[in-house]
Amino acid sequence: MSDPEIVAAYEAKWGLDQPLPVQYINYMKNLFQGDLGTSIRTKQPVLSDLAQYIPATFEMATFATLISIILGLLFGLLSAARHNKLPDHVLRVISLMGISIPAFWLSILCLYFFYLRLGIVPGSGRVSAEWLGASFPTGFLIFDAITYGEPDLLRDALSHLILPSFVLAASTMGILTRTVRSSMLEAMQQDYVRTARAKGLSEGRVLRHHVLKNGLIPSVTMFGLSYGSLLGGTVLVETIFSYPGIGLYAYKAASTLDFPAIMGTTLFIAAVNVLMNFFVDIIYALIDPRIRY
Amino acid sequence: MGEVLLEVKDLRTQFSTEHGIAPAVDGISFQLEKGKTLGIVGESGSGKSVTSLSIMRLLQEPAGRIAGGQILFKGEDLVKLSEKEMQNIRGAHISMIFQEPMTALNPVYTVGEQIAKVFMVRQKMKKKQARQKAIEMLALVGIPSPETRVDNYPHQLSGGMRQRVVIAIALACNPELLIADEPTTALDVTIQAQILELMKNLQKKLKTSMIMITHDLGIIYEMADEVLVMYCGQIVESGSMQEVFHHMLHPYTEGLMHSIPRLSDEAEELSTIEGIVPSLYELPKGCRFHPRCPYARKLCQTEEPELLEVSPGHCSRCHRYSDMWKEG
Repeated sequence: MSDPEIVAAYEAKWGLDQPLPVQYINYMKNLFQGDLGTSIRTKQPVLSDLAQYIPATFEMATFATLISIILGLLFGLLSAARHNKLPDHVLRVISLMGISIPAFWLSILCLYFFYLRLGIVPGSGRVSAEWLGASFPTGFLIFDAITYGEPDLLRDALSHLILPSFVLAASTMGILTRTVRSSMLEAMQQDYVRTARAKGLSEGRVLRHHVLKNGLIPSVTMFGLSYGSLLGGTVLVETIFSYPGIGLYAYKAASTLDFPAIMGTTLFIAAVNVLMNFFVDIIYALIDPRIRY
Repeated sequence: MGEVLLEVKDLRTQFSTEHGIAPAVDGISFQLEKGKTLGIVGESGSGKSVTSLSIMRLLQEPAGRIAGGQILFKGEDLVKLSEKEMQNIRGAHISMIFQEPMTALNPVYTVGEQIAKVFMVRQKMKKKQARQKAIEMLALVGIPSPETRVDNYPHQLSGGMRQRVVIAIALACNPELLIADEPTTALDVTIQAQILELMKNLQKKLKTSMIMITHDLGIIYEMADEVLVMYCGQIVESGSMQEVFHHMLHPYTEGLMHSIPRLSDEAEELSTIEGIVPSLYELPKGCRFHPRCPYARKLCQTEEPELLEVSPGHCSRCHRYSDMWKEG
């Protein structure tokens, strides 16, 4: 391909001349000292690159999570309460579409309508041009805008956030709707619900006290599982919306074979996923008295 | 004759399923006097549980519905009441104990909360006071150290304990009528005896009327004043416990009685009633019991027998006591 000397020097610089197990051990050694290596593309330590992009992705993921939980719960409960009636059918179609429409296509569709045609949201990025030079103390725009009292920045950041968050939330929202619906319907069939009715409780009380708590247990698991796919989804969504977060960073790393960056992002997403499921297990113990650790 | 608490007149309850309409309860009538116990006995699918769910108006609508008849509780027709009015009856005036203590309690609330709820909703008690009443109820149903048990979750209690909790919930508001649907079927024999003893004592103490639903004639013998024998959604024999046990009239009652294994029996095999309960979708013509009846004649295959009063207060749905039998 090219000058073998340059190749050898490059390989020596990145440690690629070592056998694979040695490379792995070196990576692990560095990892435990908080060193994720240096990005080939940006020439910066991967850790500082990640630290720079995490706030943006965290904001979007949190927003998407809120949207999917609120809509998923609402749709799921409504669907179960109006089982096999019109609202149920409509919501089932919506949740199916949420799950099955690919994120990249939904992104493009949303951009076309809401940005190009209607012009009600900005097309890409995290902030408008006028804020680009500004420095933000924590990097969490919404947080900074609120603490420093910048309503214009808040409005600007939110308007950039809404569309990609919605696209990101679509599939999780669909999965949650279906899980909530089916677990509520199952809970309604239980003997203890009949006992509650036999006590003379009103239908609303039966649903609120006896069905809801039991019905939410499977949904909590489902949420923990789908959070990982939500983070994975940021790669596509951030790329399409040119949103400077972990996802866009991962995409650029992958397309330039920036392997330290690829490994770093993968590791980060995996760690967040483990953490999320850890929290889910804790929540489990809080809502289900049969589970004690 | 005492004061009538509950009178069921020609009750018909149907289930519509994909196979058609199943007449689960097909025109039954009976009366229950205050303070008395009525035993309803029959095989699975005879309509005894559906009868109790109809009285409670707890059928799974719209699949199951009351198609006709009256359920007069203290003279008021429960069939005509709205769901809202029915909620004031349930728990306060008519309570129910279910078969499966393992699943009848909500796993995510303590037993104390589940009992206290009744007081808070029904008698508008404050939380603390309701909790105190819940402890009293646990003591009443014979649960040891109720002060600590009140904070237990159902999974921390044994089957017998749970059934005691279910009874405590049912009796919390001192209802006039208690419906017990196979309350001891899921329990082992020694616990069964304890629970029956408890129910008997509580009934005496609280002067509750009771409908006891079971497939176990032994329980009827222990508990009931009056007996209804049900088969395929109909009453086939009814009368006082003494009459039915000592002068049984219907071949199905005879069959049930002979199916009880006795210690003195020399036979190796248990005796059973031949055949199976017919499907509600394809009921036999004539008498519904004739395919399994040892006395069946031609008449039984074509004519449906009426419920006849053979001796005072003792009825049987069998052609053997009709005039047609003597003729043919």
